[in-house]
Amino acid sequence: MAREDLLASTFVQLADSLVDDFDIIDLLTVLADRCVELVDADAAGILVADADGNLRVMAASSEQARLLELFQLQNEEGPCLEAHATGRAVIHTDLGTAGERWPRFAPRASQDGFASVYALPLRLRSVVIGALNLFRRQPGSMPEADTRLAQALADVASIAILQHEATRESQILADQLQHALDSRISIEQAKGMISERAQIDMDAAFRCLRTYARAHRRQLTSVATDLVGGALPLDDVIDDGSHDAAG
Amino acid sequence: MVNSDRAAQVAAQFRQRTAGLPLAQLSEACVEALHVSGAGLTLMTRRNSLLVSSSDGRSGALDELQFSLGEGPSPDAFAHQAPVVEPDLEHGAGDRWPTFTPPALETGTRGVFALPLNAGTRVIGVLTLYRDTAGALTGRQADDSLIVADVVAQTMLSRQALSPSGVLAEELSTDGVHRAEVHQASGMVAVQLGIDVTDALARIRAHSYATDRSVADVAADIVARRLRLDGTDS
Repeated sequence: MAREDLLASTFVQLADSLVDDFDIIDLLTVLADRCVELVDADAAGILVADADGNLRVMAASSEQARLLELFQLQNEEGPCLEAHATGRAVIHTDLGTAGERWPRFAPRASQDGFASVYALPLRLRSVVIGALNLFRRQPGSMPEADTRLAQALADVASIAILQHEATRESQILADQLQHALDSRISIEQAKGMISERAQIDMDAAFRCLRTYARAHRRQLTSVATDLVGGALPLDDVIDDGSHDAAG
Repeated sequence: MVNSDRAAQVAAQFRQRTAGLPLAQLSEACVEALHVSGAGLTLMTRRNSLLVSSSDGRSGALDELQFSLGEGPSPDAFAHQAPVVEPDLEHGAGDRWPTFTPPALETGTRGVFALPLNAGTRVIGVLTLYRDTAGALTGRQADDSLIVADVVAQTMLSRQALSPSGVLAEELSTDGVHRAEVHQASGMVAVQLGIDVTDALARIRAHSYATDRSVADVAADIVARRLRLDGTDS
């Protein structure tokens, strides 16, 4: 695939978070792999904060890069952590001289054969969700255009992830809202069913439903839903619910 | 394509206008913001619907009419998960909603615009706009109506989020007494006829239509045991 085609398809892939089988690890693996293909980097690793704010290794272009990300987490030092903490790019073009800045990370990265590192924040405006680390075997700078491209890819991935989270949250709320409405209406329908079969008024029918639910240590709404749906025989509810229906 | 700066501005203005407003008053705010004659806001599920807010008596009656008939722009917008637009009810909609259109025209309504309330990939209800004059919405009105519908959806979700899980938000629980009676009547008819509650509601609707009465009136008679639908005298 030509570079331009790969670039275009990568942007589309990274932006597409509204699919049913959206998977954040898939998305970030694409980001890591494409960075290695599209920019002048030899390996890539990605850290993202979980719901509790703890950074986790979410994707890497190689096992070596994954271990190097883990190493940063375990030792609580390294460019990826700094990029996440500050929301800014952290660049070091000669890891051989970074021993003072990162006494544990720098020698380990050098030992793995990496000579320079670019850590770019995964961010949308002021929200920083993680960082992308690009490792290079050569010392020195990447072309400026490559840095901008990697940051653009990281930005698109960040938007997709944040968008997906917002969508998922509102869908959970939507499901709760609709379930609550159906439950509430099931109670009215259940009252009507009990009222008709037992020939009692709606208040007495409601007490009967409540008495049954309490006696069986169940939620009122789930008893009503089962009754209306036919999963619970009407006569059972009336028999068990009428004992102290006056109370 | 909605201009994104303008979209953000319209959304922010509408959010500001409706901050802290009871849900029951949201439809009036929609009427003011969108310059239409009336609006109704309905929460929907596959089985049920609940009128949350109507800007005036007629908008409420139009919602009731659609609920009674099980037909109209609002249920269509929910079912298709897409806006349903009829800018000229008098000349364009006879085939579309044969039972809804004549009584809707009698109320003086000429245009209807039903917008789904989206929550991610779900639809939680419909915002229906009514106009006294026929004609399409202007481009800007149409754009704004979609933005307002999004804000309304978010507002409803955020209010529900304050409520314990499984319990309908207090603001949404004060459904008109008549609608509660319709559901009670459905339960009664289900037992009378040995059918499920969905079919029972359909029977109540059919009886209302055949006797030219509202579903609410028929339901009230059933609950008061003045009327049975199983053919026996009460």
